[in-house]
Amino acid sequence: MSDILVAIGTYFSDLGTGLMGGAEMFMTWNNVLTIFFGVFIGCFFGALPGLSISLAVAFVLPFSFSLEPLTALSLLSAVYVGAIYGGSISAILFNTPGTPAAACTTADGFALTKQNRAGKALQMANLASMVGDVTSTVLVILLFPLLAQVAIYFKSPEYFALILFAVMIVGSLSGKSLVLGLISAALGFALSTIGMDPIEGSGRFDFGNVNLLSGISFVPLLIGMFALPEFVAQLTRARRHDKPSAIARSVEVDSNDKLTREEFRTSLPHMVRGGLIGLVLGVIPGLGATPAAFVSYDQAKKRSKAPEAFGTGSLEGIAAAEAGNNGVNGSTLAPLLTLGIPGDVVTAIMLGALLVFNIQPGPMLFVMHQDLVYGLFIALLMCDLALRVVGLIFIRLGRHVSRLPTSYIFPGIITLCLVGTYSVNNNVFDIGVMIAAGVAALVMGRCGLPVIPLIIAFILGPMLERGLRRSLAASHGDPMVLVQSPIALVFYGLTIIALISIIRSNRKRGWPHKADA
Amino acid sequence: MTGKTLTRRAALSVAAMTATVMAAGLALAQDFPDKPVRLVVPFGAGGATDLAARALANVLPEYLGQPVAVVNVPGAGGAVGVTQIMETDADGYTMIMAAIGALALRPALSPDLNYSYDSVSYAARTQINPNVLILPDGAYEDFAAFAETLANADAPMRYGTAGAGQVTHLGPIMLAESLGLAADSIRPVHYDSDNGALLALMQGEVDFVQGNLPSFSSAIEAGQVQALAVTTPERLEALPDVPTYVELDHPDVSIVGWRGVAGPKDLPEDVLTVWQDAVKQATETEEWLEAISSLGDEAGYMPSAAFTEFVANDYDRYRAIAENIGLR
Repeated sequence: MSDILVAIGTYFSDLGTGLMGGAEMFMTWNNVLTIFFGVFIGCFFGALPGLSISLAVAFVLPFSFSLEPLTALSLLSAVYVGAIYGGSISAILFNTPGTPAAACTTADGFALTKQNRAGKALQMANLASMVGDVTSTVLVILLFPLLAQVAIYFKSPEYFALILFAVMIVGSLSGKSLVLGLISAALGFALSTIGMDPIEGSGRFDFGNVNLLSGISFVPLLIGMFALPEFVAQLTRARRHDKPSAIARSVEVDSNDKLTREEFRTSLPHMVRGGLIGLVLGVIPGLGATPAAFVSYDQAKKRSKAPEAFGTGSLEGIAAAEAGNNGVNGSTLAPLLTLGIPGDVVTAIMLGALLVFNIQPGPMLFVMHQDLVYGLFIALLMCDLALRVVGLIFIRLGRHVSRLPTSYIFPGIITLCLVGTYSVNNNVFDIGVMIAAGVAALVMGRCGLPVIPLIIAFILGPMLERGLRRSLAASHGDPMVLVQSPIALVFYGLTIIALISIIRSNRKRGWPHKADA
Repeated sequence: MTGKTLTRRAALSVAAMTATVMAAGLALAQDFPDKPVRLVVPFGAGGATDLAARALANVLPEYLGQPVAVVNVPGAGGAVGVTQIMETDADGYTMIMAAIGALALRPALSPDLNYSYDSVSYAARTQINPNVLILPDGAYEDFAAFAETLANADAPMRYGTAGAGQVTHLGPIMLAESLGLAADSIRPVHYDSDNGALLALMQGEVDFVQGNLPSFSSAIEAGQVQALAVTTPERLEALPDVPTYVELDHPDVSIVGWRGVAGPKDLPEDVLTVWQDAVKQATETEEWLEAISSLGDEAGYMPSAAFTEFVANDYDRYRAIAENIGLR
């Protein structure tokens, strides 16, 4: 018994020491300002309908490479946190979710706006985003060292099983159809095989071209696939006078319209629960912010004293939805940092960034770069503080930001995307890749093929191949090694269960699937 | 005008012309560099070669007289950066941070590469990385015990590498050859990085690893793995108790990583000399020595001619290994 107590004591004292080290590494003006800047950029992209979270993160990615690793990861996280929150602003004000994750906030938020209570709704969304995120981040910090210890048991066969699971889940969850999602994932996997063989280093499908030999770079592919289609969509609807800006002109936001203590107290349980739901759904690869918002909203409605108000302007509903989608922020990092598995596009982008910095996520990350991991946790908590401060500015400005004519903003963003793409590898070839990826994404969009499985499979494909080939090399070619590990068997089982349930829910059409991260 | 004066005048003018040409040549050498220079790193930012290039670029301007901009051109294991250097003007304003992987190992192992070790001119070597043989902690008493097990193992023993064609791949092969074992008596399992190989060793997926000391030093210090031999001629300050392969009677296992500065082929002799001398001075500064020792490297300056010969030798012996084990 006392052994357990000692073990627990050591666990928390190690955690405390780690956090102190992380804080020491993080606490520079440079990092703190980066967080505020990142949250601001994120809010901006989130509040503008038509600019997605993935685009926001992809947009800052090339610029982050010139920063220190911790600063760069802080920037990417801050943009993500800001964008998830920013999506609620246009959802509340114009009935147009700035991001898919904010779709759940739309009904109650816009209802409140029509009742001239937009100020309260915006305040509630901001508070709930913060509380939800803090709840899940604190829990992730407390549990992380445990996760990192489990990760050491993942050898090559276990990795293979885990990545197979992740590819299946991500490929199938992010589109309307399982088959189309898997086709898209197969395309991503095929693209990832171009270039040097990840094991032997010999060239594949390079046609003797040294640029192809180095493989398709992740950044141009990503920016091309996210930015160009949005740009073209913007061009084709530029003439149309959109409804949001018409509504926006008539909306009045009284920023003194503060929440009462009572309103906050009734909503607080929904916020904490939302954070917990976000935590759980965030850890599972492929789910993410949108389902977390809907599940949290649903739970809040069941437990509320005033369920009839949900959908017609309930502050509790906004609290639940926003806490749910923000609760995902911290926990999606857990599988990325411990196992190197990205659960959604944003963590896939962060994985790309880590690899550029020569930092290999996985069990060794916690051993080799403990300060970096704890520094990132401190950064996440700082994001919440920044969210509150920047959020208050956006409550005043949001109406004007969401109304900005995107036809003026997009050319600037596209130019910066081009510059950013080039600057990563200083290679003109990458600009060609970016344009080709953009055209491909447009064609895929026309065919109904989702882009996200392609991106994730592009990242996970080489990892799957490595896991398989390393397992075989280490077992002297005996394929039985793949099914001898209990951990691997658990993941094969989970893959099968997940596939069955997805096929079923696709028939029934459950809650909306994540269309965009 | 007499013939004599004419001759004298002609001689004078020839002398004057020669002097002018020589002065111009001298001026050219003195003028170089008259604008900022670029140092291409054929790998991504944050990697070992990048950090080495930045450490050098911090001190180099003082001796070169011009700012040095580090530009990362990663891709294809260094091939993209080397190709870019081959295509630039041979004027000394664009140089490359050369490293063993991109310029000796890959050309030695891949016949289909579009360049070889002699596609660039070598200005000066800057530093070397000792390699170390590591095993699970407490697995063997000493090197002799490990060598004994290696020679008598039923199945080939597995070793982790940071990727095909890295020092971690070829080093153990050199060891097996020196022990008189067949090339297939050990089997490589390729990971992505030194860290990946180290983790696999700790998990027991591979039996041993031999590679760059800096990547493994923290695990050795923490007692997670044991070090049994180093590849440098002398014992290392950081590992005073670990014998060298020379002491262990395997002097042929002398694989060390190296880095240096190189430029496009046929770089003018005087430009090459300017670079060589500036690098020599830079690598003698306290600041640079401190920077590279924090990276785990050892100073290893070598002038242009010696460096060129050194790389050729390195290439030849890795190529011989590659042919022996059927890689080419």
